[in-house]
Amino acid sequence: MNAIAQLLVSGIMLGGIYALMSIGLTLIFGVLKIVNFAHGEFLMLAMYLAWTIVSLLGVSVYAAAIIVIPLLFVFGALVYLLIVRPAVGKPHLIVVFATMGVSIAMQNLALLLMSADLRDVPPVFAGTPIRIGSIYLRIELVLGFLISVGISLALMLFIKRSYFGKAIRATVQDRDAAMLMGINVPQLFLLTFAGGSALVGLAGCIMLPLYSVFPTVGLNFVLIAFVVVVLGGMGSIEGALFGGICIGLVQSFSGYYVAPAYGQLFYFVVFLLVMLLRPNGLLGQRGAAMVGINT
Amino acid sequence: MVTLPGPTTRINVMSFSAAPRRGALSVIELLVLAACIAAAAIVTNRHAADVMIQTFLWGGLALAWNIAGGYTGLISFGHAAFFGIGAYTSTILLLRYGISPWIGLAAGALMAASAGALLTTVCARLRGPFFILSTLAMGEVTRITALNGQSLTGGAEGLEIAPVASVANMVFIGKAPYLALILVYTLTLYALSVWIERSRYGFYLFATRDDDDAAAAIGINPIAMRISAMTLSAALTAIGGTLFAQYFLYLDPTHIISPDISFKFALICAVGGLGTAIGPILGALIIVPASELLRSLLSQSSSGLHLVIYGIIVTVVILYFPSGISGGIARVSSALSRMFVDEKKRT
Amino acid sequence: MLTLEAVGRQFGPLWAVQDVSFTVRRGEIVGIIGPNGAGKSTLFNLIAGAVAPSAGDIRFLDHRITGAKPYHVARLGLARTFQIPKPFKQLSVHENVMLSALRRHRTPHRSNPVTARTMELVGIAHVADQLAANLTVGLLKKLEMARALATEPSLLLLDEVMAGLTPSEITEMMTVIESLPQHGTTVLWVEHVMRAIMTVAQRLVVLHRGRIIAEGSPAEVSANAAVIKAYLGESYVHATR
Repeated sequence: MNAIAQLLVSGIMLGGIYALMSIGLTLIFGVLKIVNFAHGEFLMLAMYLAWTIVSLLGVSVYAAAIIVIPLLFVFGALVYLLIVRPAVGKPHLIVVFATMGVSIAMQNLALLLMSADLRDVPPVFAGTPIRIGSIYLRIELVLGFLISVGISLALMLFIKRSYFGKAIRATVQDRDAAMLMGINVPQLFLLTFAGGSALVGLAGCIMLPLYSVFPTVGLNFVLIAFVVVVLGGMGSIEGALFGGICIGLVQSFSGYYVAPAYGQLFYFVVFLLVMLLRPNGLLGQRGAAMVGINT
Repeated sequence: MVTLPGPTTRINVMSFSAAPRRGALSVIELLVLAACIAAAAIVTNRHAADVMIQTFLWGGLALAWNIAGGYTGLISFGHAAFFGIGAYTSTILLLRYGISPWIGLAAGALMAASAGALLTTVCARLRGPFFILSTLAMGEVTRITALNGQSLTGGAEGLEIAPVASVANMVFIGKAPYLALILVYTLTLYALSVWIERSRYGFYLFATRDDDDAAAAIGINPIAMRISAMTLSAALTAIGGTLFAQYFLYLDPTHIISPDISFKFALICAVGGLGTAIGPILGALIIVPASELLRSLLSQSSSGLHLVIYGIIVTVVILYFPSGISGGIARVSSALSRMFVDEKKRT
Repeated sequence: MLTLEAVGRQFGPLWAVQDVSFTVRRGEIVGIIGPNGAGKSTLFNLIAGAVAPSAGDIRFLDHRITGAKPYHVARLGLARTFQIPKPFKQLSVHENVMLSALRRHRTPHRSNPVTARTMELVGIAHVADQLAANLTVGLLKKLEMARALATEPSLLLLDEVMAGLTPSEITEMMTVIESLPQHGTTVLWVEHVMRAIMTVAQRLVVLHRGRIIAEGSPAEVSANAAVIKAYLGESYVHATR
C-alpha cells in the first residue's frame, strides 16, 4: 500500500514536470501548426547550459535558470528566424527535415563538445528528502513540480485574460482571420516559438537535478513530450498538464513493476497505443485551443 | 466546421517531388549509371573499392527508403530497424543453424516485410509528423530489443561472422565479388524504381501521397497502397542489411539500428532528390565519398562532426534546394532543351 | 440504378438527413436542390461513402453500399466530383485524368485513348501538360469533371460543379452534362446554380431540413408551394411572376 501511494505521488509530481517540458511543444504546434523535431535537443541544450553554469559558478539550478531562460529564448528566436520561418506554409516535409537536421546537428555538436559522459549536478539542500506521512520525495522533485504547476497556471491565466493570449487563441483557430483582424501573426509566431523555447529552458533547469544530461538525452524526452501533447490535445495547456500527469504516473508505476531494461520499451509501446487509440487526445474536443487546419 | 490538427489530420507532406517521367531515361542518368559501372569494373585500389561498395550499398538502401518515403510520402526515420532485422536475421540463421545467407536474405526480407506491414497497418491513420514519430518509436523499440536479447542477438557485444571464404556462405576473398554483388543490388532497385514510376502502381502511390480522398474517389485504396509500399521498402532494406552483414562481418545494435542510420537514408534521398529514381544514387555518390574524405581529414576525436555537417546539409538543402540534385539537373536539362528545341513544338 | 431507402444521418442530436428515399434510373439526369443547410452535402457524402448513414439503406446496381468505403463505391462504377477541386497538384492535367482511366485500363499506354477523349469532351485538352497546381478555377472544375468521367462510371455524382464558374463556363458545363446519358453515364447532381440545373435536369428532388419535400420535373417543382415556402418564405407562395 505504501508503495502505491509513493508511486502515485511521485508520478504526479514527475508528470507536472513533464507537462512543463511539453507546453512549449503544444503551443508551437497549436499556433504555428508545425512540429519541432529538435524539441528534445532544445531541452538538452538547456540542461547542458544549466550544468555549465552550476559547475562554473557554484549556484543552484534554480538560480541558473535566470540565465538559461533568456538564453533559450534567444536561441529559439534564432532558430525560428533562420530555419522555421522559411519553412512555414510550405509542405510539412520541409519543416520536418529541417528541424530533424537541427536535431542531428545539435546532438552531435554536444557529443563533440561535451563527450558522451553523463553529467550531473550535486543535490540541492544536501539531499534530504521531504517526508509526507510514509512518502519520501526528493526536494528537487517537489520544487520542480511546484514551479511547473505554478508556471502552467500562470500561463493559462495569461492566455485567457491578456491580449497576447487572445491573439494566440485567435491564431490557433484561424490564422488568416487573425491576420485580417490586425494581429501581427509573423511576430506572434516568433514570440511563441521563442517563448516555447524559454519554457523548455526552465524545464531543463528543473530536470537537471533529476536526470543526468548526455548528448542523446533529448531523444528520450521528445517522445515523452509528443505523447503528452497528443494525450492532452494540441495547443492546450490544460491538456499538457493532464497528459503530463498521465505519463508521469505511467513512468512511475512501470519503472517499479517492469524490469528497468524493458522500461523504455514499455514506454514506447504506451506511446504507440496512445497514437492509435486516442490520436485526438483524451480530452477530446476541448475548448478554444484546439483548432485549425494546415494551409 | 472545425477540424482538429491531430495526428490523423491530413497534411500535404510532399508537394515538390518530380512528376513521374514520361519519356525515356534522361541522358544524364544513363551517363551516371554507366560511369558507376565503369568505375566498378576498373577499380583496383582496395580503399577505393571499399568506398565504392559503401556508396552503392547506401544508394541501394536509399532507393529502398525512397519507395516508401519519396513515392508514397511515408517519411520514416526508423528504417534502420528494417536494416537491422535483415542483417540480424540472416546472421543468426547462419551462425546458429548454418543456413546460407542467400536464403537468410529472403528470411530477413520476410521478417522486415512483416514488421513494416504491421507498423503501417497499426499506424495507417496517422499523418505527417505523427507517422514519423511512430517510425522513430519503432526504430528505438527494435534497437532496445536487440540490445536486450542477449541470447539471440549477442546484446551489446553483437555478432561476428567468421571471415572464411565460401560462396555458399556469401563470404568472398577480395572486394571485387562484393562490389559486383552490391552493384547488382543497387541497379536492380534502380530498375525497379524506374518501373514503378511508370506503372499504374507507381501512379497510385503518387496519388496516395498527394491526396487520400481524391485517390479514394477514383477507386484507389490508400491504406492498402501505404501498407504495400512500406512492406516492399522494408523487405528491400532488409536485403541490403544482409549484404552489409556479409561484407562487414560484424553487427551490433548501437551501430546498426541507430537513428543516425535511419537519418542517413532520408538525408541521401533529400540531397539527391526525393521521389526520383536517380536521386538516391546521386545523393549517395555525394554523401558517402564526402564523409569518407571527412573521416580521413579529421582526427579521431572529432567523432560526430560528420553528423553535425549532415544535419546542417539536410537543413540547408531542404530549405533552399528542396528537389535536391536531381531537381537541379532536371531544371538544367529542361533549360538546355528549351534552348535547342523550337518553342512552337512544345505545348 | 441507385436506390435510397429511408436514409438518415445523425450528428449528435441533429438529423442532417432524415428518412430520405428516392430512386435514380439508368440514363436519367436527376438533380438535388434545396436551400442552404438542407442536407444536400451530407446526402451526397452518404452516397459517395465519405460518411456512413445512421439509418436506412443505399443500393447501387444491386450492391448494398450502405456505409461502404469511398474506394469500394468508386470501383463499383460510381464516380464523384469534389465541390472544392482536389486534383493531384504535382501531376500534370493529363496525368490527373490518366490516373482515373488507369482503373479500367491498367497501363498508361492503354489509358491514353480514354484520357484524350475525356479531356476533349470536357475542354481541357489544350492544357494537358500543365501542372494541375497552376490551373484557374474554371479549368480546375473541368478537371474535376474529367477525373470523374475518365473512370467511365455508370453513375456520376456531381457536387455543385457550377460554383465559381463564369456564365460562359456554366453554359459549356451544361452542354457536357447534358451529353452524358448518351455516353452511358447517369447523373445525380447537387446544385445551387438554379439556371443550370433547372434547364438540364429531367427530375428534381428537393431537400429541406434533411427531408424530401418535393419531387418531380423542374416545372412541377418550381410551382410547388412547399418548395417556394422553403426557399423564399411563406409570403411568396402566392406571388405572381
